[in-house]
Amino acid sequence: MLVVKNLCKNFRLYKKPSDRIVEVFFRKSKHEIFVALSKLSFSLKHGQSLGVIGPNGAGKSTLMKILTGLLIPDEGSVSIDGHITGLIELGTGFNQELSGRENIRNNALLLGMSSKQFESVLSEIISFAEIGSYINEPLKIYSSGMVMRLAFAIAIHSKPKCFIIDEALSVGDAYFQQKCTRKIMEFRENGGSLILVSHDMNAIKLLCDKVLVLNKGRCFAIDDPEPAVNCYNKILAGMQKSITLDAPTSESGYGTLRAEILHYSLNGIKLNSYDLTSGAFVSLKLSILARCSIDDLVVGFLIRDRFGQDVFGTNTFLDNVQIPVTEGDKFDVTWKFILNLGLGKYTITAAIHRGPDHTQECLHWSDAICGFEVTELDGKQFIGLCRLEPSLTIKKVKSS
Amino acid sequence: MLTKMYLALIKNLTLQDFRDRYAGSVFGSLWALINPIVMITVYLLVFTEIMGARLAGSSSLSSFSIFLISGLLPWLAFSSTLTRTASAFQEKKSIITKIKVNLSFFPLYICFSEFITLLISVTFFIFVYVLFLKQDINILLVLNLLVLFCFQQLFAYSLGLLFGVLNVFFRDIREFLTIFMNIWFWMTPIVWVPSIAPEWLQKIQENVNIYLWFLSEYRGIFLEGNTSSIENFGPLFLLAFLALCISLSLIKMLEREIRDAI
Repeated sequence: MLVVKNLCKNFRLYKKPSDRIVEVFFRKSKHEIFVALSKLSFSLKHGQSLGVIGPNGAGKSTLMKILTGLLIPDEGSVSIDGHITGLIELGTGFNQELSGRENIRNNALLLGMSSKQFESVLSEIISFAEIGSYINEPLKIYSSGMVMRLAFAIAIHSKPKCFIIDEALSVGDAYFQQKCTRKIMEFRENGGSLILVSHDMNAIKLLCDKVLVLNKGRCFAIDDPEPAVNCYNKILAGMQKSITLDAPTSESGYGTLRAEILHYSLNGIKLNSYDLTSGAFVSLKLSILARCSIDDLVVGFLIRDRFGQDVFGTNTFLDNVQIPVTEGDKFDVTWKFILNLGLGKYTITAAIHRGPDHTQECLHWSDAICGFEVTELDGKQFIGLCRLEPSLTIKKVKSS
Repeated sequence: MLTKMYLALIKNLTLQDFRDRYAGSVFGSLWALINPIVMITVYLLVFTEIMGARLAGSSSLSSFSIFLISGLLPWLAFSSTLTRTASAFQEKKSIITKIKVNLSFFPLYICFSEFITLLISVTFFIFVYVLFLKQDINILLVLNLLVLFCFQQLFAYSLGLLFGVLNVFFRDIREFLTIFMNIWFWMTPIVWVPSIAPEWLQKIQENVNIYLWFLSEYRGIFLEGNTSSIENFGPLFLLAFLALCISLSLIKMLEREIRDAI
C-alpha cells in the first residue's frame, strides 16, 4: 500500500524569498539548513492503520505533506498504491458565498472525485453531515461546526484507499466526534488504511495497529501502540533539563531518578500479576526513596485497561497532600480502595514527579509495574468498566 | 483517467471563476455578457458618432472603431490572462498547499475563463460588424480568428506561468507586471494608428513588439478581410509553443523550491 524508503527532507531557511532563486541560478549558498526528516523508512499494508506521534517539531506534518504529495522529498522514495486523501485538506477551496451543494461539488472534484462519483455520494454526504435543508443556503450562514462536518463528510466519502487525519479529529461536538470515530472504524473494517497524527494518546491506542514515534525528524520507534506511547512519554520526560545523578536506571521506567520507586505491593504481596474480584477491598503500597530534598514531590498511580486507555488515576497532588522530603528519606505511600472495576485485564502504572503532572519534572515513571485481572464480580452483576452503584426507583405515573 | 479527472477539475474551476466573480449579484454571470456589450457600444458611439474619427485613406466613418475594437478586445484577454496567471500560485495558495495539484496545468482555468470572455465579446462585435457596420465576414475568417485566439491565449498563459514562478520568489513581480503591461499597451498601436508614430517607434514595433504579430493578423481580418498566410501562422505557433516549453521546463526544474516557498 505505502512504502517509504530512506526519506530525507531539509528545509532551507532563507533571509528573503528571492535568495532561493538566486541560489538556483548562481549556485551560491545563501541558506541555513533545517533537517525536518532524516532517513525515515516504514511501510503500511492494506487495511493497516498507523499512528504518528512525537513532540512538536518532530516532523509529523512534513511527513504528511510528503505523503500527500504537497512537498517533494530531497532524498528517498514514497510509493503509494491508490488514492490518499487527508483531513489536512479539510474544507479546501470552500467559498463562503456559494451554497453547501456547490461547495461539496468543488471540494469533491478537488479531492479527485469524478462528476458521476460525486452525484452518487451527494445524498450520503448531506445526510452524514446533517446539514439538511441548509444545503442550498450559502456557506456564510453555516455554523463553524456545520462547515467542519461538511468537510469531514466529503473527505471520508471521497473513497480513499488511505485516509490521513492530522490533528483534526476534534470535529464538532462530542456527538459528532463519536459519529466520526464510528465512520473511521467502518472505513477501516472495509479495508481502508489509516494514518493518524495526534497528541491524543487514547485515540492513538484505540484506532492504530502500529505507531511510529518521531523525534527531531528521526524515527524513534515503530511499535505496538502501548509501548510506543510509553516511548513517547519517555521523550517528553527527557525533554526536561535532566539532572543526571549517575544513578543506575531502574529496571523499568525512566525519569531523573532524584527519587525512586523501590518497591510496590498489592494487598501486602508483590507479584507480577494478580487475580482480583470486583468489589473487593484493595491496598496498593509504594515504597519510595528520596535521593535529595524535594518539597513538591507528588506520588501517583494509574490503572489502564487492556487497550491502554486510562481508567482511573490519582496522585497526592489531587488529594492535596504535601510530602516534604529530605535527602535519604524512605517512606511508604498506601492507597486503600474498593476495586469497582468490570471484568477484564488491567495494568497499574506508578509515578513520582514534581508539580501537578509529569511535565515539570518526572522523577520516576514506571509503566505497568504489575498487571491484574478482574475475574469475578462480587455482589450485583453489571456491564462495562466501572461500577457506579446507582439507586433504582420505579414509580407508576399512570395506570391504564 | 487522470487527464479526464483533470479536465473535470479545470472545467469546474473555470465555471467557478465566473461564479466567484459575480457571486452574490442579482444578474450573476449575465454581467459577463453585459460588460462587453456596453463597452463596444460606447466605443462605437464615441468614435463614430461623436468624434467621427477616420483612418487615413479610408472614407468609412466606422473604420476607426473597427480598428480600435479589433485590437482592444484580444489585448484585454491577453493582458488579463497573463497577469492573472502570474499571480495564480499566490492566489490559490490555500489549495496548492493542501491538495496535490499539477502546478503546470492548474492555472489553465484562467486561460479558459478569459478565452470565454473574449469569445462572448468578439461574437457580439461580429454581430454589430455585420448588421450595423454592413461589413462582410465569412466562416473561413472566423475560423482563422479562432486559431489565432488559441495561439494568443497559449502564449499569454505560458508567459504568465513564467512570471508566476518568479512571483513565488520575488513578490515584486506582480506590481512590476501591472506597470509593464500598461506600458506595453500604450507602446502597441491599439488605440493609436501606426502611421502617426515617429519612424524609430515604428521600427522598434516591427522588430521587438511580439504582440504586434497577433495584432496585424486581427486587423487584416477585420479591416481588409485577409486570411493569415502560413508564413504568419507558423511563427505565431512556434512562439506560443516555445514559450510553453520554456515555462513548463522551468516549473519542472523548480517544483520542489516552489512548493517549499509557497
